[in-house]
Amino acid sequence: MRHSICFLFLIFICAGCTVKAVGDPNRPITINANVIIDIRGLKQTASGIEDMVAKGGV
Amino acid sequence: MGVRKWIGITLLTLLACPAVLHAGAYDLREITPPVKEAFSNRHNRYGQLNALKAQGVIGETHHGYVHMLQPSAETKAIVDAENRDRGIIYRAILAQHELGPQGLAGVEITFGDVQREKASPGELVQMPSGEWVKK
Repeated sequence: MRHSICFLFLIFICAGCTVKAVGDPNRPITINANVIIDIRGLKQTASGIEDMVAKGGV
Repeated sequence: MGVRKWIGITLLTLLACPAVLHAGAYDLREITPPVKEAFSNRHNRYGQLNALKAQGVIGETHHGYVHMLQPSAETKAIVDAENRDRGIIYRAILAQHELGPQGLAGVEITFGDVQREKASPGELVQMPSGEWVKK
């Protein structure tokens, strides 16, 4: 059970990474995997930024 | 012993993926000169923008930008400038949190949600369906 949880956790982490593969040095290939965005965290940031715009000061 | 090995691998992987470690906190880590200028510009036009919103001349789109509902050259200049400054801030969040270009839509829509929530009664806001409603 613990092994399964750790394995799933690893898959979740790896899903957010960018993998760079270089075959020909003159033509690097970049593979962008899925990007996971924490919407709640982003919403807090957005709200904070808009409050900052209203009040002034960075 | 097996569990310890897996915990070790997990911790090492976490250290190797800084972008994931910071997921959930998207505050700007660095206020670059263009971002500072964008904030300053937005603050300076904040009152003017609110007046136009109250008059129904402009509204907040569902994807985080302002839209001209009663066209005029003067309004267009304000709307264009505001959207340019918002774009600078959105792209700074993307770059500093390594969200990649595909993350832009997520950032824009989230800011759109927040703008809709913060809108004052009587202002026009665009719903995710594309419909414009008076809040």
